Amino acid sequence: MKDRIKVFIQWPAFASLVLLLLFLVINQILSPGYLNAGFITGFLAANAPSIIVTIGLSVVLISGGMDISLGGLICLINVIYVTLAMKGFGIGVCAAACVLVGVLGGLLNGICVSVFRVTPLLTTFATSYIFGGIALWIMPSPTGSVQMDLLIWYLGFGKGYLAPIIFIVIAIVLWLVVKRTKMGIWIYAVGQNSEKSYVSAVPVNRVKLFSYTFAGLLYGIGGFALTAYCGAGDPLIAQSMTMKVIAACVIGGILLNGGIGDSVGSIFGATFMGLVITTVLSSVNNSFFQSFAQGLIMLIGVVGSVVLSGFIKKFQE
Amino acid sequence: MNENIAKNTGIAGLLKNEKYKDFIPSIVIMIVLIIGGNLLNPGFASINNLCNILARASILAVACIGQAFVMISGNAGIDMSIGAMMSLTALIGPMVSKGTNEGLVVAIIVFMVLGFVIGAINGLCIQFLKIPSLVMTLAMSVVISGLTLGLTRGQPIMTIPKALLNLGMPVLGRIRGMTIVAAVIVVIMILFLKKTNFGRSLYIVGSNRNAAKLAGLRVNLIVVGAYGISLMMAALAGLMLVGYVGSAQLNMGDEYTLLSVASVVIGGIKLTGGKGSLIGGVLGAMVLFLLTSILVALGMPSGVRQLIQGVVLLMIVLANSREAKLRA
Repeated sequence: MKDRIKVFIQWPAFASLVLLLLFLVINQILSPGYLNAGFITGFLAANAPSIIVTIGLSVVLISGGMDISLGGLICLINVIYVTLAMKGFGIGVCAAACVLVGVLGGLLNGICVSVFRVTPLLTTFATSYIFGGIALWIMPSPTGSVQMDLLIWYLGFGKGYLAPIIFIVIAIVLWLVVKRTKMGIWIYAVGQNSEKSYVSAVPVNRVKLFSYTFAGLLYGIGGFALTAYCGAGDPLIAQSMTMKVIAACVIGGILLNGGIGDSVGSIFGATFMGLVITTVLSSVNNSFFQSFAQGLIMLIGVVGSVVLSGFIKKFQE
Repeated sequence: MNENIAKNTGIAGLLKNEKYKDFIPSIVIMIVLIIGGNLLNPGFASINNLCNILARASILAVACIGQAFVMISGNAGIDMSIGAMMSLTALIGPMVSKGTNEGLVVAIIVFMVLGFVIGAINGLCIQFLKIPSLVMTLAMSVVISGLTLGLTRGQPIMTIPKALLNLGMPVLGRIRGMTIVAAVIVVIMILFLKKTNFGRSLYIVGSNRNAAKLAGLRVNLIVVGAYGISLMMAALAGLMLVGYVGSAQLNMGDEYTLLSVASVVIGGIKLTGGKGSLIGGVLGAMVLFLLTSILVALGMPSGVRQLIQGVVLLMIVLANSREAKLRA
């Protein structure tokens, strides 16, 4: 029993779980009874996309990479979905196109990082221009809408709970399957130390390529969910997402140096970020200071999570 | 000794010389862009137009000094809060100065100090709390933008001091006042980097943190200083920006975060730190604005412009920012 508690505390996501619970309690004190069914369905629908994307990014981070192109890529996915939908294609075709675009975008990042050995930060920095640029090229201003059926399904299926949950479950299952395979172990190994992995006959390049492509797949799913939630096309829809998702991963206990962390933990980080936004929107009356308050709480979250996990590590030693 | 000197003269020597090797791609691209721009759009290479481009590039040149300091300090240092800081200064600066030239002096001092303090907070969190540089500065940029929005209430009202507006006017021949101001700042910062203890220590800290610590350098202080200087420069660039544009828009400086990273990278500064010079960054800034103005002159929509910028950046990164092979 004692060992089990120890393992639980050592879990990289423990700090973020504490942070999340703390924030829930504070919220409960500030505005009692806000955790009702309506809040939860709305919250799930709005935050499922970023939770899925966070899982995707965390895989890249665990393998020791970095991806700041996800905002641009998701904008592109959204734009392509809506453009296809306006041309009269069905939901299936559009969703497949989303996933395909995501995978191809991830593949481009992966090839540059693994085959051409460019620093991940700079690669994805350049590709974020490319993806965002194509999105703006196809759709210069927000327009269009998705099929009515999709909107009704996403916001209404199973009292509004089920559709977002299905998306999140798909993402988690995909990651858990990968984690159980050899590839999952390799991802952690490469993130810990790519040179040592290389001499231990781990195909480092293939692992990096896989992690970016897998992340791209999840961006595709997340982008589809985001489009279903918003119901419209906007070439700048996800540009602010990059930072939120990276912060969510860090809060979720994933080190940017790689090799440590659990994608499931990053879900807590993403939930925390989502809660921060809704809380600020409801409790800060001066609308001009809302984004300041959001930024400040997020900063405190990042600092708190990093300090807390450092403290736990020191305490154990 | 004599042989060494002989080897390093002439064009072949110049290509081999480590000191200038990093500048050659930017200079070649610049010449190609100017000639190409003039072919595609006659009159592009006129002195007036080039000076105009130079004026816009000089804002970026000042902004990218800070980025260069942070990147040279190493450890994957990057400052993503430069754009937000520029927006803050550009929008609040004229309000502080109350539109008078005397007020401008106050505003410059206030914002340089403010920039240094915010940057130092970045540096302190990165150095002592071990928060990754990218995350810390990104989060800080959200806080700064939020502050800007809160203070201006979404509708910046301002009268810009005359002295600031005059920066956009031709002073020396066709050369804008802004270019001269930027040149002075760049020269001061180059001297600061090359001749002072701080500057030289920064290179050592960037190339090897442990060695620097063992050599008795105060690594923490130097890194915090680099982040402080970064936002201090961003504050100056923000004031120049509002003087050049002449009116206020929310988030007007935000794009400079990405532009500063791009120009520094084009200029040959590596994310691993310890290498590179400010001149490289300045040349990179000129390359970026030449490219942008050619695309604007050709009437490309903004999406295509962004796409082409991304492709060019990817090409440059592919050429000069590759990591070592795993198989040694």
